[in-house]
Amino acid sequence: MGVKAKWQHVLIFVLVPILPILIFWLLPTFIAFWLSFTDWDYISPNFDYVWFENYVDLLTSSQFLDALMQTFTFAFLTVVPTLILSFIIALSLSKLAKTSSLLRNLIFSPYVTPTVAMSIVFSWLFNPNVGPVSKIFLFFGQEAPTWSTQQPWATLLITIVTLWQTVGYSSIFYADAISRIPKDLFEVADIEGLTNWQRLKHIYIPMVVPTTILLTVMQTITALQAYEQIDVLTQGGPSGSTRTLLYLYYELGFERFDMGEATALAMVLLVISLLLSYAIVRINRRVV
Amino acid sequence: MKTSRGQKVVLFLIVLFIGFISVYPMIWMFFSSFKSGEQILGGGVGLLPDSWHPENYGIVFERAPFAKYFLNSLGTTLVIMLIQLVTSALIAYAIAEFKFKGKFIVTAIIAAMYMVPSDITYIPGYIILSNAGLNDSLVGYVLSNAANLFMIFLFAQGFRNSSHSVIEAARVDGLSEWSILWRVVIPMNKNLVIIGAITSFIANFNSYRWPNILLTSPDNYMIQQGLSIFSTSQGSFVEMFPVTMAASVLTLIPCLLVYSTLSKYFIGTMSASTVKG
Repeated sequence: MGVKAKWQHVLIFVLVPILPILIFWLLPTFIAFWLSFTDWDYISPNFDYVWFENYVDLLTSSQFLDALMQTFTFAFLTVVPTLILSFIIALSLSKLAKTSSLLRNLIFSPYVTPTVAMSIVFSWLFNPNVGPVSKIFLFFGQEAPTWSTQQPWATLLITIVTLWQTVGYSSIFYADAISRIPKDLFEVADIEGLTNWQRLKHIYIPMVVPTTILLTVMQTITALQAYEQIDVLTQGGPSGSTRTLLYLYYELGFERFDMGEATALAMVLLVISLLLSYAIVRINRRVV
Repeated sequence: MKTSRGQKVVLFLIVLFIGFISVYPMIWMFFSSFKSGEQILGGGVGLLPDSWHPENYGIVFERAPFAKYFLNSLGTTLVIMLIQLVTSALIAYAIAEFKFKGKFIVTAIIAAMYMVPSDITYIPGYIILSNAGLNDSLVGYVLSNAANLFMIFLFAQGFRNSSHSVIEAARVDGLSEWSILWRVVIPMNKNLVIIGAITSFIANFNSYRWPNILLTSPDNYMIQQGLSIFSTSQGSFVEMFPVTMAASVLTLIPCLLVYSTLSKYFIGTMSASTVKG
């Protein structure tokens, strides 16, 4: 396909734009791999090769195993509500064609907000003394928890912020899938006299299965990359119970200056991301 | 069987409730930014301020160089956006239109790097920029963001689906490849360019982790860094909470403005282009 490019074309159209990818993506990935075999401390120019020590230390540490568990717990806690809520939003909006444009924009808008700022806002919304959420607890005669310092509230708070930011975005994918359901299915349903509940069970839910799988993987990636909300709200606490793999990576790197172990963890993150990306490619191949 | 009026009302109320939850934190933040410290200390949790204190915004600029942070973020975000649009358009055009040696390797590298979480590249990226004397430098920050892999995919897919007869006709007319890209292909893909621009703007204006590693002197801080530091230093005092909210409002305005003016391009095409990426 396409015309044969002259060398000037290759220079301008390919070499110039690929340079930043080579320098700031490809090369760093290899450097990270190389660093994971050293004991570099970020500051001194000297380091030794420790080969697989970083990997052994990391993979056998309880910190890593805890963070791995907490990452997938957090992913699970955000995946299920995301699927349910974004499906409800998309289905409702599809039935409310006329009034939906403004509402759709409102529901999507959290996605464009900065996570740092909104996490700060949520820390005050959920503040046990002055936050409006504490009033809801008071209303039920309960004392409001100090969200960020006790479990399960700390994990719940981070989950809520994450859901708040991503549910509207996810609903776009369901909206797209619902709009692609063949119209004749509904004609058949009319003839058969299916109830709304039966339509949901036999048409809507099965027809959006590929999107459900795609969103599950995408939300897992989102959970894997969550950092700002944890940093602002809990700093990984109480006692490390909200520390995800990415949070541990930054702690190892920039608080303990153990670049070897940090980059070893980076390689673990890379492998998980590659597996998830592979899953997305497989799903897309089936959808299209 | 159609959805009845009653059912529609129920669905509408559900969506209205979710819409309310989506915007409430922002509305609450906005009104809180005008409250007085006394109202907060007095436990006044009401949505509206007892008395309006726009001077909270003045205090933000007094206590921290927020104007500087804001301009740093806005300036680099716009420059990065322009550079990314150009680099993505060029390489996407090459992938869609040219045959050249090493094309397979180029596409393979782009596809592989798309799967690499960017956090992995930050520690080595810092080393590379330090060696070039560009750590803690806005130039280094902009250069490190010169490519946008999502945008390359978005454009390559759009360009490939563009009407080929128009491009052929332009070639017959003797237009250079450079002119075909900017005068024929880009106008045909206006929507994709707008989506690429919005996503780039939002991602860069909101970014925190990479600038927080690279930019270490307060003169170079991006606004999210500035806000984070402001919030930990000042915001620990309850009476400073309205001022912290004022600072947060400032960091939200540009993206909300960009999104609300251009949202009609956004939602429809976003899912279509991402799902089938």
